[in-house]
Amino acid sequence: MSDDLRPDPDALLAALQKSEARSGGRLKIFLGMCPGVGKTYAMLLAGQQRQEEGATVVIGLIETHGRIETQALTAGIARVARKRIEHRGVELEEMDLDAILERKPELVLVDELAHTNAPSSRHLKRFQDVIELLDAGIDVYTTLNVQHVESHRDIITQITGAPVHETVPDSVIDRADEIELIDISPAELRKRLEEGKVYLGDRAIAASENFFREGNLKALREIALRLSAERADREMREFMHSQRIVGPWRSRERLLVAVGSSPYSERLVRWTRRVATSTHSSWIAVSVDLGTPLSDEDKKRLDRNLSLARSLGAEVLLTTGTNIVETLLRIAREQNVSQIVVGKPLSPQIVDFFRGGSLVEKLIRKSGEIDVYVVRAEKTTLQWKPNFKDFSSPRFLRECGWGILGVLGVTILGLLLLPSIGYMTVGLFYLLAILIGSMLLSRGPMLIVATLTALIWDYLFIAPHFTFSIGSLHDIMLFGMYFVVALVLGHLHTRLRQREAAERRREIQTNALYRFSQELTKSRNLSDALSASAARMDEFFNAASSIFLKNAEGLSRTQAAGNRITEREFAVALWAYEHNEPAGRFTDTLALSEGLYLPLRTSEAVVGVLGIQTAHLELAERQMLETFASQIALLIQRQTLQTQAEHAKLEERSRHLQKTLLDSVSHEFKTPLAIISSALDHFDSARPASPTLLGEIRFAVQRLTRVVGNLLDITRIETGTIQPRLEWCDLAEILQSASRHGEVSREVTITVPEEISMAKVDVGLLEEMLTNLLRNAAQHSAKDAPITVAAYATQPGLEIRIIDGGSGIPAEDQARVFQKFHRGTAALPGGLGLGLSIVKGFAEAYGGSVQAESRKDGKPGTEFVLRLPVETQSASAMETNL
Amino acid sequence: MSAASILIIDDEPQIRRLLRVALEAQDYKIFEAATGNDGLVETASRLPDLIILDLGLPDLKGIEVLGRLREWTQTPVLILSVQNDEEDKVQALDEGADDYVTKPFNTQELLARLRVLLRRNRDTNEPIFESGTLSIDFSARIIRVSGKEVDLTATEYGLLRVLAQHAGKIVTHKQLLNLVWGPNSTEQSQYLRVFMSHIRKKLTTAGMPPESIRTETAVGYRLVEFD
Repeated sequence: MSDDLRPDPDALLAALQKSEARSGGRLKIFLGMCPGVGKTYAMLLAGQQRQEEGATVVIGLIETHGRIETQALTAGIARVARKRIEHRGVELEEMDLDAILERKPELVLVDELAHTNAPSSRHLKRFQDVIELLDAGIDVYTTLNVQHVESHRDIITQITGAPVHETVPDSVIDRADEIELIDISPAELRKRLEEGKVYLGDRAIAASENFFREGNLKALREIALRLSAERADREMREFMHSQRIVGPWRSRERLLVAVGSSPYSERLVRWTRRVATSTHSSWIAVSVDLGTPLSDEDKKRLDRNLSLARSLGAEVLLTTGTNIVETLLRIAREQNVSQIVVGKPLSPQIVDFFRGGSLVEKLIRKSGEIDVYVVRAEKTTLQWKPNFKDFSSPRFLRECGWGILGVLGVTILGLLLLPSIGYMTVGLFYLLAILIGSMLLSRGPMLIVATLTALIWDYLFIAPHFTFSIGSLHDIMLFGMYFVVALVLGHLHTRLRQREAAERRREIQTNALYRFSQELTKSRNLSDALSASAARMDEFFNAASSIFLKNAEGLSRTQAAGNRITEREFAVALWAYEHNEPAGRFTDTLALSEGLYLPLRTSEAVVGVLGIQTAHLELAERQMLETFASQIALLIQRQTLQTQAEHAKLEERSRHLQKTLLDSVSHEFKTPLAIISSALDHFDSARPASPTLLGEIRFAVQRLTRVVGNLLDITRIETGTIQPRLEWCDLAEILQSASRHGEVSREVTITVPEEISMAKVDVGLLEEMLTNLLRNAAQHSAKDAPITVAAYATQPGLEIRIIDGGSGIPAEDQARVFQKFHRGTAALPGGLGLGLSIVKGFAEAYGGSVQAESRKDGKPGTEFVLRLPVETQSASAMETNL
Repeated sequence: MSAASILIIDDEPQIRRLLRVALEAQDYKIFEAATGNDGLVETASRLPDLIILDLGLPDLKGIEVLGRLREWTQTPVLILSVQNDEEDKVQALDEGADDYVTKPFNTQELLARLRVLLRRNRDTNEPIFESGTLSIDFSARIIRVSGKEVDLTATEYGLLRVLAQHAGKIVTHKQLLNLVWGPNSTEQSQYLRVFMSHIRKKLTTAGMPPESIRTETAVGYRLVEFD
């Protein structure tokens, strides 16, 4: 039981994400019941206040409608000039989105969120502009009237009688961080209207008589209040969730709404959205393709209904099936739906009787644990309209013609054979003809043919001849049976054919996908695969497609496969790429473009854009296109990973080769040196009193050994074969060991603070760097001048200073000492000037740096500063971790 | 006392000749092999007391020769190679080599290492270790520097004991970790460094010369023997 008391983890996560995902700007909506309540005024006031607080505020677009008080408030706030757009000879003014984005203010004021942009603007709707502003991290204040809220549109149309054309999806309103209700009483508003503060002149009178009736205003005000109350309620609940306050948690409901091509589906969708919002549950919209061909108008309406559902925040599912009830229930169970929403049945009761109960009855009977809501359809707009257009289509007429010709043929044959076979057999002939006909003709012509044959049979063959009357009961029954059989046969056949057609469509799609993926796997390289997929899509959608890939700088201008597109179209593709959202035709963004552009997304990133230029694209095709897009994206990702792996392998091989080469070179140099020096050792021990000559040879060998070592090191640096291997080391230990190897032959003061006594370094590299630096310090200072080595903790990492008491390096030479073969004026013989450049090379392989400075304390001498980005720790801290 | 015999496996005739001269002067008996396979055959037939092995052989890799030797004999192996890569050193030592000398080498140093390896091979179990000012009584677990007792923790003592048992020889980080903490902690070399710096601090404060414990950069530690 205690489970019920706990907040749902998913919901908590969602709340968390909501608060975290807010990297974009904040949206505040000033909501009013109707024009004239003072939204713009309030918004400007808030803007002025933000500006006084020090924020940069601009006016994106304000409609003052000539109201003087409002006008006065705009003073002092910077204004972004509007963009002029020519459309069919009329000049329109719109908000200049790009100018605002470029200016990057902290807050922008945008009036009338529901506004529809001029046709050639980037976005269809102003709210899309606002979303782009928010995504760019700019706060937006905007105004909205309650009648423009998508899910409330129906109710308001019913109340006011005025159709609403411009709406804002609820998902945008949900995104608002704050909604401020601007409320005044209807009486006050009417007073303001009369004073001419709302509309000016004649329009005021017209307005007050229509829209601003007191009844209307009261209803609108109630809706606006309820909307903001609902939101406050939801915020409260979210707060309780996030604070783990145990409250009346609602169970997690999930709604399913069945969407068809009917105009009432729109109403169903809105209704479901309202219920889903108020019960705080998720919802899906399902459309079942029964295989019945839809008229173009129906298709369009279905698309519209589904995109409405999508824009209201539903998850949209398209599926095929032969039985609508079973398909709906299957999806409901798969998706854990708790409630199904369907429309009230519209077909006459008698039809339902023959179908074994209406759809709704069947649904309710089989729904089991799922609740079923049956929502009323509006009578006023509902009328069954026979599709007369079909009856005059050439195909219909042609099929009727063929049918009638066939009937006439059978009739003549029947008349000829009548004497020998009897009228009942003629009836069977007719039945056979209908059977054959139903295989060839569609349902409409078939019904006409069936009726015609029945009548002809009656008229010509059933006694009394040449009348439509039937004498005997026997004949009446025969006629009736014939009629029924013909109709049923025709109907069954048509259904079969429709089902077949649906099946075939599905098969074509599956096949296309199959062949598509086959071709992708067969292709030898990426560009082949992309060309093949572009060609396959051109064929399937009967369109021109193109694929763009991203390169190091972004989306590549030249297409990777498919057709060339214009510069203008490319800009659309670029938008889709940058915003990771479809753009272009059939979308709400830049809808006037020729092509539709889908981003190619993988789990990590957008890897390119798929463009398709086609005249029309059905919903099912759109889904197919998205499948293609995801297949291509996967392909690209796979290819990229493969290339990376191959590259790494190649690099590894070349590194190995270089190492082998270096090793053998090193072997060839060092072996003779080893022989000479061991031989010398032998001389020494054989004849203890060694002559000076031997000492000279020994010194020369040491020098040669060092030079060879340095040359090999510099080669290692230049071939890039150095890879630091990091491990924790005692820093003081390395410094001591380095001063031993550096042959400094004098006192070296080493200080390492306790908090960095351990460092994660490549011991070999660090020791060699320090050895070189110490040797350098010893060489460039007097024999008894002390050397100090001090380590410091810096951000990030470690800094080691080697301070000598030499003559110092002139400032202009301090950078040059690290150059290869550079030798200082005071350099002793015995070096190629490689020591310091090796230090520099190693330090850089580490991601660090080394530089020479004059001594900080002003004494003569040089400080060499070695900075390495390595982890450090105190020994005692490490010990406590043991 | 019969002279110890040493097998030199190296493909460079000059190096072999040179070593022969140097070693025979110390009364060692010398055998030579120019390839890895010859070396394996010579080891089996001559049974030398010590093997000097070059890592860069023409037929087999030195590390392979080492592996095949360690399959059947514990004869001390001294690696002699020009490769100055710590990784190679560590690998050879972990594979069972006893010490490592890089070319070009100092003959005195080489002879000293050889002496250590040959002696280790003779006597192993002495209850008391003594070197310079340092003395360790293994039975009583007492450490003294110049006669003064030094207090070490159990882990520190363990580490020092392992180094003393291999005195003069290099002990890799992995070997130390394995012997003191067990086979599961061989990747934790940072802790080793912490402990080693503690041991060193305690012993040098007590008067031991700091170079007594030598850090072999990135490879391991060596307790230097003083007579």
